[in-house]
Amino acid sequence: MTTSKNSSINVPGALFLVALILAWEVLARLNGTPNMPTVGAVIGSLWRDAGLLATEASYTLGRALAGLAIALLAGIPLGIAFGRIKLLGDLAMPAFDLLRPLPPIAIAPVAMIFAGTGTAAKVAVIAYGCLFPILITTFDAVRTTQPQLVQSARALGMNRLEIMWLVDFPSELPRMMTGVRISLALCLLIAVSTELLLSSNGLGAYIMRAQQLFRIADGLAALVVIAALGLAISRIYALVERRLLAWHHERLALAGGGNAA
Amino acid sequence: MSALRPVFRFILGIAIFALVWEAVARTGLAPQNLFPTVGEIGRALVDLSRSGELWTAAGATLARAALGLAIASLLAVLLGLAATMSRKIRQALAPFVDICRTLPPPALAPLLIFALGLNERMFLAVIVFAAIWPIYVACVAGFGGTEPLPLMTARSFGASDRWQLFYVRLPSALPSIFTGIRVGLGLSLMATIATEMIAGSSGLGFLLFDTAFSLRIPEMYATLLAAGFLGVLFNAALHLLKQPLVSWHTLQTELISS
Repeated sequence: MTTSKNSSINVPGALFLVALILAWEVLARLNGTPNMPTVGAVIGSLWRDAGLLATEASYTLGRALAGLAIALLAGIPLGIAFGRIKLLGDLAMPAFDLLRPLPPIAIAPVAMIFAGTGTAAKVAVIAYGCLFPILITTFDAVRTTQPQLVQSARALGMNRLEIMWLVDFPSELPRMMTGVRISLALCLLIAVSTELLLSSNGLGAYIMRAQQLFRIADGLAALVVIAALGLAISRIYALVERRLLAWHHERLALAGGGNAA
Repeated sequence: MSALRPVFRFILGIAIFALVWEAVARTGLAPQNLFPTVGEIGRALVDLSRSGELWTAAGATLARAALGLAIASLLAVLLGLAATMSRKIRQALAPFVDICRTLPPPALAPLLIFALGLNERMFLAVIVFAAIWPIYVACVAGFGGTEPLPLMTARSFGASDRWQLFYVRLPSALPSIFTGIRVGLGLSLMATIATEMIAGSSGLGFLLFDTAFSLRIPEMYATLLAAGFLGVLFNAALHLLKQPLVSWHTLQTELISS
């Protein structure tokens, strides 16, 4: 979000990263403890375990996206229904607000006693964690949909279901995307965290194995893979959002064109 | 009236939640040994708090999360100030911050145990790392988003850059900074509980796993309830802290929206 808009390379940023890596290397060589492996050792781990890391990453990514998909499929319709049907929203939202301050990872033991330590339990925790940002932004967006839009839809003879699908959903998509963006970052975080806790496979489990075998370089290599995945996901999201909401950005540009200094 | 509404919502939420829960537990929609009734959970809550187990755990979690959040806020504001004063620093930090934000903080715990040992310092490192980046991003956005008119006014009165920073930019950035701290609060609590689950021998995260593995199911739900309540309390405390600092802003937005 802080990167420059034109595609020129951020020179100070790149220099700072290189300086950090160099500082790490110098410190690692001076200390010489296995607790702080050299950059070369981490690259070595990446190279040696490339195949395994890719497999583990595919597990992690698969769970994260499955959880996110469930959250989207449940959160958007629920958010629209709670927002449009006032009584339902007035009754349901306070109960959801109650669950919000609970960190999603705290649900992991509950998922475990119900579903064991397999993929189902992890996906459940991810879906639970991702549901809230999506549900709440959708609900807020629908509650504040421009009344003219809804009134014209009613005048055209649309029923409630048609209004939800044809008016609320498209007109509030830009604001719902805020929730989707938050959940997208969250799903990877929760996926890795649940794998750390309920170890079987995935990048989180890989890190736990690296710890148990005193192979810190392997653990750091997994962190590099996670960072790369996270950056790739946010890049892809930005591309998709620009496509999906092209009409919205055009309108914003038109509206903002007047007062741009 | 307007002060009563959130309290009413809160109570309504609890009532509806308890009602739905009790219905699921009684009708046997979920296996009964895994889904105790509200009464059983209440009894477990009383037992746990009477034995002191719950208070010790909640105290440990709260202390870790609060100290971590305080340190993260302070560091983030200092970094944000530095990044506001110099474009070079802001640019230099940008990719680093982007990378750090993608890393799940609990994943650092297993590796930090070797570098720092299994102690409070390791906990603090993970929690600070979890909370600092959203606060930093909010700081930079807040400082950068100062309205030009007050800044130009200050400048035309000959105010120095530093004076402008502390007396114009900082106050106008406070609402944004507090939004960042609220995000950081959620993340710090999440990181605390996750780290306690991975590496802890104390705290609510540990108690959650401990009760789950020993199949003390009502106790597990009671702990979960306590964790949620801690989150509510933590948010309320932050809100109280924020009110006097940004009351002018709330007033302004109310005036605009009315």
